[in-house]
Amino acid sequence: MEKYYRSRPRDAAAEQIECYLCENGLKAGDRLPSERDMCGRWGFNRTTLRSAIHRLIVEGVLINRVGSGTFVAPKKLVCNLQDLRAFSVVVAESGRSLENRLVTAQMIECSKPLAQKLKQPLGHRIFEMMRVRVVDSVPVLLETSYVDAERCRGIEQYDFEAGSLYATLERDYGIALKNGIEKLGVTYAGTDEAQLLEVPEGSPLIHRVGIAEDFDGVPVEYFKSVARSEYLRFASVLTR
Amino acid sequence: MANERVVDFHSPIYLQLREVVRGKIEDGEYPPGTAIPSENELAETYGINRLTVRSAIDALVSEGLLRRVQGKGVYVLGSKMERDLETLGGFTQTMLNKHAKPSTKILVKARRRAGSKYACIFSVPPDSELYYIKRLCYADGEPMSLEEILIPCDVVPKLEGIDLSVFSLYEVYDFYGVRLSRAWQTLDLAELEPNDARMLNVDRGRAVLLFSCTSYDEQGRVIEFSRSYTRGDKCNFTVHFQSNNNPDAGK
Repeated sequence: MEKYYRSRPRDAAAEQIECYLCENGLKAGDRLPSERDMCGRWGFNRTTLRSAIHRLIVEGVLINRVGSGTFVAPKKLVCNLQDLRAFSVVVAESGRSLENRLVTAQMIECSKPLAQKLKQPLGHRIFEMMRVRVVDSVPVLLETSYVDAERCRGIEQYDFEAGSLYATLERDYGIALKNGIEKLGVTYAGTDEAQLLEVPEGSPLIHRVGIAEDFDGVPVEYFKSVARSEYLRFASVLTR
Repeated sequence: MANERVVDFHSPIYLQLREVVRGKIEDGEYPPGTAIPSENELAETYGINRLTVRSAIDALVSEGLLRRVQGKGVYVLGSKMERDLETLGGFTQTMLNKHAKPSTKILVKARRRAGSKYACIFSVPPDSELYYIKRLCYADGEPMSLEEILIPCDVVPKLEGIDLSVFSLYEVYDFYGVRLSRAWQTLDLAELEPNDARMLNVDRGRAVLLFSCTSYDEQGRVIEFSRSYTRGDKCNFTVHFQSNNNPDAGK
């Protein structure tokens, strides 16, 4: 065992900045000292400091505003993956504003891949809806939902820019979601995704695909989404 | 355990040695997770034949007190318990190849000063010491994730002597009576330093999944903080979710 660990300069610089934030109680929107100032104070060279700042920007700790400096980033919105709460509820509880931009809402015929997910025959009527979720004026999540339209007749009449899908299913169709399973991974923004989420093409995004079932084990919703990780953080609790 | 082992100097040597080793395990001279002296060393210490040493050790291995690790030595096992946090929810890693053989390589295992960032996370003074472990995790010899683990030194005081390529940290916690009761896991995207990216075989500028995990014991004390940088092209993660709303709590 090595006696004592000395971190690499870049790691040390990133940690030093985080310590500075926590010791001085800096909050979202507060400005960091200038690079020159930080280098002088902690004895790092410019390159080291810059790459540390770059890393903290990628991790969503800091944010860079061109021309005016580096700031403490707003806290990420934490979405617990295990509790099946509507996104609108999560946003409301964090005290932020939510705007839904409807991209598509249409009836489609069930395709083979969808047929397997939703356990419906080919050609069955499916309601497809794609929405961009905009939190505090930043588009953070692009979500596509597929719901059995025969079971939810008239669902295309609802205004899902204003209302929640889960709340509508529960209130007007008596469908309560019980559980489900989803997969997560990394993906890179394609042309459409980049445009809708206002990020450069090829930016890394968190990709989720899943199925939610009702209390009888019937699949209710198949969903796909891509999220901007600088703004959203997914979380789960492990218990014994 | 019924005691038929009244061993005295008339008893066969291998039985006597078995009781010597058992005694040292029970007294804590050979703490769980560490290696006991080699067969040669034991043979020399007690002036006995190596084959005799082996049969003494074999007996303790079959009792489940020791574990023989090919090419490494014989290790002391602590008491085991039921668990796996992961079976009860959270991100479950699924390899593309389900039968992949996992292995790890320890890159760093050292003490460090907590500093104010980790002092906050662990609620300890900034001057207290932490163990810092950095390791690469492989599946079938291919690097999958790079992990950094921090543990306050007083949680597992003997960690220096424990070979973490033989025991998982969870096993070590069990040995020392540390009971993990819950953990909070988060998922972000991150970019690796060039050196780390090379080790993981990730192209520069590509994103990796960053899992951060804070583990608590039954008293609510933070006993481990870990970060795992995982290749997004090799691993998938699955989460089971469940509604805890009752149908009449409509919002």
